[in-house]
Amino acid sequence: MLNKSIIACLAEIAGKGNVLTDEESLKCYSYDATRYASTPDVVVKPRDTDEISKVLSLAYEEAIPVTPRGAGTGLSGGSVPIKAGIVLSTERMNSTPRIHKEDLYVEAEAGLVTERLQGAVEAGGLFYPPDPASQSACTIGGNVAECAGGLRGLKYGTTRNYVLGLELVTPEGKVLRTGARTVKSVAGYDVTRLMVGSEGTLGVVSSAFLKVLPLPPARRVLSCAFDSLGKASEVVSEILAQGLIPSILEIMDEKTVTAVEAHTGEKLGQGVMLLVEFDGTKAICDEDASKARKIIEGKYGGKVMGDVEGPERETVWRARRAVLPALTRLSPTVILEDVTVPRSRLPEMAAKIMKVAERYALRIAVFGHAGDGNLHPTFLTDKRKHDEIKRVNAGISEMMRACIDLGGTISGEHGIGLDKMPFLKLEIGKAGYDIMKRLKVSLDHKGIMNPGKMFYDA
Amino acid sequence: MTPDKDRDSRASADDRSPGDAGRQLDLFGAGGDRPQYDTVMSLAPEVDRCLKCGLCRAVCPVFAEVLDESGCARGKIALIEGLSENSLSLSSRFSDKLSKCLNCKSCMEVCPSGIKVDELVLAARSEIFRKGKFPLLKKLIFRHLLRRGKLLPPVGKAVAFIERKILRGLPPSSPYRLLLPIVKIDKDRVFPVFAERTLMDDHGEILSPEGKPRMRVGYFSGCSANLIYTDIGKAVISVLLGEGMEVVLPHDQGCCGVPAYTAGDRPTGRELALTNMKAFEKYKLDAVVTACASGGVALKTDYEKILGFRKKALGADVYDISEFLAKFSRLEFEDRHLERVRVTYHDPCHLNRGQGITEAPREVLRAMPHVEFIEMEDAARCCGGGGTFSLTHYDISKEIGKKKANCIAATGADVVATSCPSCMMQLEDMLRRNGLPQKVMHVIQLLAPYYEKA
Ligand SMILES: Cc1cc2nc3c(=O)[nH]c(=O)nc-3n(C[C@H](O)[C@H](O)[C@H](O)COP(=O)(O)OP(=O)(O)OC[C@H]3O[C@@H](n4cnc5c(N)ncnc54)[C@H](O)[C@@H]3O)c2cc1C
Repeated sequence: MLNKSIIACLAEIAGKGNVLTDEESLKCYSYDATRYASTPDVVVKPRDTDEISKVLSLAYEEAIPVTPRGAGTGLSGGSVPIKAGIVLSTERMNSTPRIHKEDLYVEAEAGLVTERLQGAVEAGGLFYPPDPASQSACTIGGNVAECAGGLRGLKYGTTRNYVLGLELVTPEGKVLRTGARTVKSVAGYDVTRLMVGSEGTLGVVSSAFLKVLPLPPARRVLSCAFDSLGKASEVVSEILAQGLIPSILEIMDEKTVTAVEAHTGEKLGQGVMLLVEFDGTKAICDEDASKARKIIEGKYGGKVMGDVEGPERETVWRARRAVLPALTRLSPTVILEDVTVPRSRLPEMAAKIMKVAERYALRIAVFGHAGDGNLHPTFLTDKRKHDEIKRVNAGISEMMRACIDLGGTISGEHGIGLDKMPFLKLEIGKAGYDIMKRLKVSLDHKGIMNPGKMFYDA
Repeated sequence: MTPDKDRDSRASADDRSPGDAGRQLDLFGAGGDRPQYDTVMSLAPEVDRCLKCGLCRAVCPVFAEVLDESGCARGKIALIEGLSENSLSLSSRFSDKLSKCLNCKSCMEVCPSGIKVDELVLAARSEIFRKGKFPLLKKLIFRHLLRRGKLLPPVGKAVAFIERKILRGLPPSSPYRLLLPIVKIDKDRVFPVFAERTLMDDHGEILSPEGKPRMRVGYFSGCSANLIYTDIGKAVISVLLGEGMEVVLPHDQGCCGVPAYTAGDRPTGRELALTNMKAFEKYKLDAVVTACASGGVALKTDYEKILGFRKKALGADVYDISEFLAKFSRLEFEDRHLERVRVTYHDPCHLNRGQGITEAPREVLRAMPHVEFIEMEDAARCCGGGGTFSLTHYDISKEIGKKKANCIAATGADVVATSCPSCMMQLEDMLRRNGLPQKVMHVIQLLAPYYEKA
C-alpha cells in the first residue's frame, strides 16, 4: 500500500479522477491477455509527457514500482504489475496523429490505438504496415514496447522497422527525444532500437515518430490447400527461393482449418492451407500471383482454392481472423506460443511440433506467419486438468529447446514479460543475459521500471 | 402461478379467442423456472471463458468515452470474477461500474470466445438488485409503475398534461427548465411527449381487414407506441390491415419488462412477461409483430434466456415489423407522388445484434418510390440511448449520441429512419442538441402512406 501523501501527490499531477485506488479499478488493471494477474496499489492515467515525467520523478524519489500499460492486450504478462506499485496507463494519450506527408512519417502518442493510426494515414494515401491481429485495441506504445509484428512481417518487417525516433521519459523522469525524423541517422548509440522491445523495463515511451510508406494500389491473395504441413512449409521456402516476396504468407494446419470452418460455417478448403498475398501495382500482383500459382500447383500438388483481389479479399482475411475465436471454442484453455525459426527450417519446426504433440499426448493446432518462420503452436487444453497441464509445460519446454537448436527464437513478437522468463537465458546465453542485465541496471538503477519482468533477478 | 381468472374468462367468452380458461399455462421451459445465469456463482464458468484479450475495447461505445477498463466487457467480466472469488463486494462503486453498459452487444460481435456478455451483466445486476444497493426511486418505479400495467397510461397522461401545459409551452430558454435537474434530468433535454389519447383508447382488440384475413397477427405495441409515439402504432395497424392481416391488439398487454430486468429487477420483469404471455397466449395467433426493437428481443429471447420462461413465450413466432413485411409482403408499391425524401437508416442494437436483422428494414425503405436511401457511416454503432442509460448516464450518452448525430448529418439525409422507439428518443434529443435539422421516423411511419386509401 502506498501512503496517502503519495496518492495526493499523484492526484495533484494527473487530476483526482485519473488516479484510481478503489479495489474495483485496481482489479480492472491487474491483468493482460495472459492468465497472469496482480493488483497494483494505484492506477494513474497521465494526459501528456509532462505528467508522465512528474509521475516518474515521484516514483523514482520514493522507489515505487511503475508498470506501463497500453491496452493490456499483451501476450506475455508485460503490463501485469507483479510488484504492485503504480500502473501507468496511457489510455488518455490518444490524440489524433500528426501526419507529415512530405517527410513520410507520422507522430503518434503512446496511447493511440494502432488501427486509428492506420486509418488516419490510409486516408492520406499512406500505409503503416505493422498489423498485429490485436490492432483494433492495442496501442502504439505497447507495439513499440513489444516490437509487435503481424501478418505483413515478411515483406515489411515489424514495428522495429518503422520507429524513426521516440519521445521518452527515463525512470528519473527526464524527457528526451531519441533517433531522428529522417530515414538515416548515426548520431551515437541507437537508443531508439534499444527501447523498441524493451517491454517498459527501461522507461516510458510517450510518443513515437513512425515511418510510413505510400499505400500499395493493388493487392491479390491466393488461398491454397495442401495435404500435409510438410508440403505447405516446403512451398513457403520455394516461393521465397524463387525471389517472390509476398506481402503476407500465412499457414494454417488441418486442425485450424477445420476449426475455422466449423466456427464460420464457410468452406475454406481442405487439409493444410496457405494464404499468399501480393501487393504493389496491379501488373506486379498479377505477375507474382501467377508465378506463385505455378509453384503451388507444381510438384507439391497444392490446389488454389481462391484467387481474389480488391475488397473481395476480405472473405479470406475474415477466415484468418477467425482462427483464434475458432480455436478458443475447442477447449477451455488455449495456450498460444510464438516460436520463430529461420524460414528454411520451418518444415523441421513443424515436424517437431507434431512430435511433441504425439509424445506428450497433447492437442496442438498450428498456424502462423509462415513467411517469417513464425509459428503459433496453440495448445488446446484445460487448466483444471493438472496432469495435462504438466504435460503441456513439458511439451512447451521441449519445443522451445528444439526451436533454439534450429537457430530460432523463443518469441517472434509477443515478448518475454513473465511468460517466457524461464527460457530467456536458454536462448541468449549467460553473456547475453549479463549484458542485458547491465543495460537494465545502468538505465534503471533503482529498478523501478516494470520490475519482475524479463529477468528473474531484476 | 395461477392464471388470472377474470381475464381468462373474458377471453374465452370471446368466441374468436380459443384460449381456454382452465388449462394451466405451461410457461416454463424444460430448464425449470430459473434462467441459466442467475446467481453470481452460476456465472463463474462463463466468466472463466474470457481470454482477457481486450478486443472488446475496440468496439465498446462506453469505453470510447470513459477510457477506463471498467467501461468495456473485459473489465466488467473481471469485476464479476472478483465478486465470485469474494475479492470484491456488491459495493455502490461496483453497481455504478456495472451500470455503465448499454447492453448494445457490440462486444459480443468481436468476442473470440463468444462470451454472453449481455447475460452476464444482467445477471450481475440482478444480484445487485437482490443483495446490493439498488436506488430506491428505481425500485419504486419498477415495483409500482411498470408492474401495475394499468397505472402507466394514466400516469403517462398526467405527464402529457404537465408537458403540454408547462414544459412544452415553454421556450427552450425558459427558467422553469431549471427545475428539471431536481429530478436529475438535463435541462436542455428534448423529451418525448406523451400522447393525449393512447393507441388502445383508439383501437379495439380485434381489427379485421377487408376480405378474408391472410393471417391472424398479434401486435405487441410496447409502451412507447401505446403512450408516446402512437403514430407508430397506427402505422403498424394500418400496414398490417392493408396487407390483409387480421390484427389482434390485446389490451391487457403491458410493459415488455426490459427496463426492469435490464436494471436487475427480475421479479418485476417476470411478472410483466407473464402478463404479456397471458395476454397473447389466449388468442390463437399465427404470428406476433412488434415495431419495438427492444420489445422484440424481450419476446424472442430474453423471456427465455434472462427470465427463464419457455421458448416461444407468446405461443407464436415473433417478428419485427420489417422482418414480417420482408417475409410476407411483396413490398411493391406504386408511386403515390409523395414528396421525395432522402433517408438514412440507424441500426438499433436490439434489432441488429439483438435479433440479427439488418437487411429487412433497408429492403422496406428501398421499396418506397419516394425514398432515396443513403447509407450512413457506422450505421450499426449504438446511439447511446440504451433506454434508461440515457437518464442515468446522460454525460456518456450525450457523447456517444453526438457521434451518431454527426454520422447522420454527414449523409445529407432529410430523415433518419430506425426501428426502435427508444433509439428515436435518443436520436431526436441528439440531433436537436447538436443543432441538426434531420427528422427522426420509424421505418413503418414512412411506409404507412402507401396503405392509405387512394
Ligand atoms: C487477440 C490478440 C492478437 C494478437 N496478435 C498479435 C500479433 O499478431 N502480433 C504481435 O506482435 N502481437 C500480437 N498480440 C499481442 C499484443 O497485442 C501486442 O504485444 C501489443 O503490442 C500490446 O500492446 P498493448 O497496448 O496492449 O500493450 P500492453 O499489453 O498494455 O503492454 C505490453 C508491454 O508494453 C509495455 N508498455 C505499454 N505501453 C508502454 C509505453 N508507453 N512505454 C513503455 N512501455 C509500454 C508494458 O509495460 C508491457 O510490458 C496479440 C494479442 C491479442 C490479445
